[in-house]
Amino acid sequence: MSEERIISRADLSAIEGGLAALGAEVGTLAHSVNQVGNKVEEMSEEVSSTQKTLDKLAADFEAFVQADLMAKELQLAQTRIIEVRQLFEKEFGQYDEVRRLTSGILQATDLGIVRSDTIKRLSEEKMLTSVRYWLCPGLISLSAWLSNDRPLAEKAMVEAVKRDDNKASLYFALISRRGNRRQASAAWLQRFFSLQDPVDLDRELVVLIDAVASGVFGAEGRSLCARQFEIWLKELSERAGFTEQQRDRWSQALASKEPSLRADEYPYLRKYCPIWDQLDASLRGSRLHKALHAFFENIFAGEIPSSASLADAVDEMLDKLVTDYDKDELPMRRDLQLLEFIIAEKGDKVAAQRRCDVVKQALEAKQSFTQLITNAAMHPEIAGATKASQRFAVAMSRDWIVAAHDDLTAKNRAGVPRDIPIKIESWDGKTQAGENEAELLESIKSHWIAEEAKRIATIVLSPINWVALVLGGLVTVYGLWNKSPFLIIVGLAGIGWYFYGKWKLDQTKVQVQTQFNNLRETSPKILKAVLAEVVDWRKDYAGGDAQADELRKYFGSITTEQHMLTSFDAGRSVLNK
Amino acid sequence: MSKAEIEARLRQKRSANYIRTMTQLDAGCHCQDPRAVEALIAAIQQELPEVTIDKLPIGIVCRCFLGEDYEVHTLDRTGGIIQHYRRSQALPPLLERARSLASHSQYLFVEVYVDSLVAVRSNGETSYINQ
Repeated sequence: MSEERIISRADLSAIEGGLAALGAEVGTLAHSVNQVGNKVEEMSEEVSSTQKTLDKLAADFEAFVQADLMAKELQLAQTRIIEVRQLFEKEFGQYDEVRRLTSGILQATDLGIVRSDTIKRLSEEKMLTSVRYWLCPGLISLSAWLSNDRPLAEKAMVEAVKRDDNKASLYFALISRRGNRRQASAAWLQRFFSLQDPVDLDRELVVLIDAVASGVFGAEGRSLCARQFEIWLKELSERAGFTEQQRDRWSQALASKEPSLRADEYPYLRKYCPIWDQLDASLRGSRLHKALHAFFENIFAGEIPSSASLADAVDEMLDKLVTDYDKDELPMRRDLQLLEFIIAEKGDKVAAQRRCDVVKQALEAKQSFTQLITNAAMHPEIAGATKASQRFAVAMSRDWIVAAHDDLTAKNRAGVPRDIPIKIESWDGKTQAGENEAELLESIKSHWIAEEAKRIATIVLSPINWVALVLGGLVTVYGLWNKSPFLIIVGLAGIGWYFYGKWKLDQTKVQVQTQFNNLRETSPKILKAVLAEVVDWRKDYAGGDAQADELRKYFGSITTEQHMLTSFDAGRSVLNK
Repeated sequence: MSKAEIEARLRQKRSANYIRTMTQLDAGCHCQDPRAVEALIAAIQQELPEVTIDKLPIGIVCRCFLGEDYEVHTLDRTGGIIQHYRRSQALPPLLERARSLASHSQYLFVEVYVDSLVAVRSNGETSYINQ
């Protein structure tokens, strides 16, 4: 017997009332929470605003402290600079007078308007006041020379050399050159060069090397200095790793002249060859030889322009030498410079120190002799070298240039691809020099036939179309049996969908066939164009590469002796009197 | 020897004797004569006596003049064999990288090292390619 449970309808009104009250309470609570949220938001805004004010205050305070610090630094610098200047004046004031006097004597002698007695008296006076400065005996020597007092000139010269061999040697070399005493100037210059460290040369020396190469110091200067340069090169070559470094330096310098291909060259290879980058690099490398040949021929072609401006530059060097600070003055000069920069930067010590460092770096920049001649040969515009020193530098570095060029050439030749791959759409092929055109054309033709067949085979009706056809047929028959127009329409729609799918399929097949017909028509043309470019590329490469040996022969014809120039400066006639 | 020292040594000009020996590589009879191959390998060791055996060339690749179809021939030092290759044939992977250079008319042969190539001209001058 089944048990029946009868549940009478419960009276839920009390519960419903309670729930409604609870709902109202929750509503009130939500409102309160909302209010608290708003308050928190307001508070947060206030905190944020306070934070901003505090940040601004901190920034203002920091700026104030900074400004105060700068003002103090400025004040300190202004006071200190006076002290340092006074101290400097006391210590080295006479040095400045000596410099001014030397400069004046050089100018006056050029013009021939001051008597040698006056020069002699003033020079001797200065000698008594500056006991350590090399320029004082230098000055005495100059004035003794002008007064034809050889013993005094020699004595003063020895003292100057004792005080600062480096500067004194250069000074006497430049003075003798100015007086057109070629033999003396050459000997002094060689002495000056022999005192230098070939791996740590001043950048300014390029002017002197340039002057030597241009014949400003005469034939004697050229041959004596060339001998010194040879000694340097020999000395440098004996240092470990030097030869490798020099060869790499020249390789880089030569490679920097590599020309780029025009954007319209080899359009098909760019598009259809997967290793175009390699072809591009090889071709650029082969064109380098012609560019280098033109570059070096240009260096050695034509007359060397007059060296008058170079002679002026050498004279400027003399002016600079006699007006330059002595090494004793340097620490105090640096202090003075920093203080001047602090004043100029309105108390900003960091910016002032930065400026000081830049100046110091520029003054202390050094380079090796080989770096100097590499730059003079390959980048004369940057190195500030003339065509004469370009010739000289190339002639001196010939063996390195040949070695670097040989390495570059061999590297380029080793990188030339034997097989050149071609990729047109989904077809891949390769050729060496377009010799297999017929084979590739056949390959691409059969590839498209196979691809088309593969694609066509994938274009089939989906099972749902067949389901629609069968179900549509059954529903139509059933609709006709029951005379139900609705079922007939539904059934016919199913059959119609099948035929629509079939029509679309045919359309897709036609599209695929058209696409492959296009490919069959265009791809052989593209392939032929690519192969033609491969042939051109090989010819182009071979033509460029053949220049390598021409250039090698050309390098062989360059000799140092041949390219030490024959142009001479007449010196200053006034000093010859 | 350090790497730089080996490089400096390998860059040095090859002797006329060595060049002469290497040009005999092309004589077809060597392929069948193990003594001739041994003599060629000994010539390499004599030419570079300072270089330890593990740093000696792993092979030599030269242009081949056996016929129109032949491109290069190789001496595999470790395998002790000489082989002539047609244009269509691939070289062993380590020697293949010297093929373009060896085919070039300016070089007589190329010494193949593990990490470099040295192309040798008929006058013994060398070009070094770091790879």
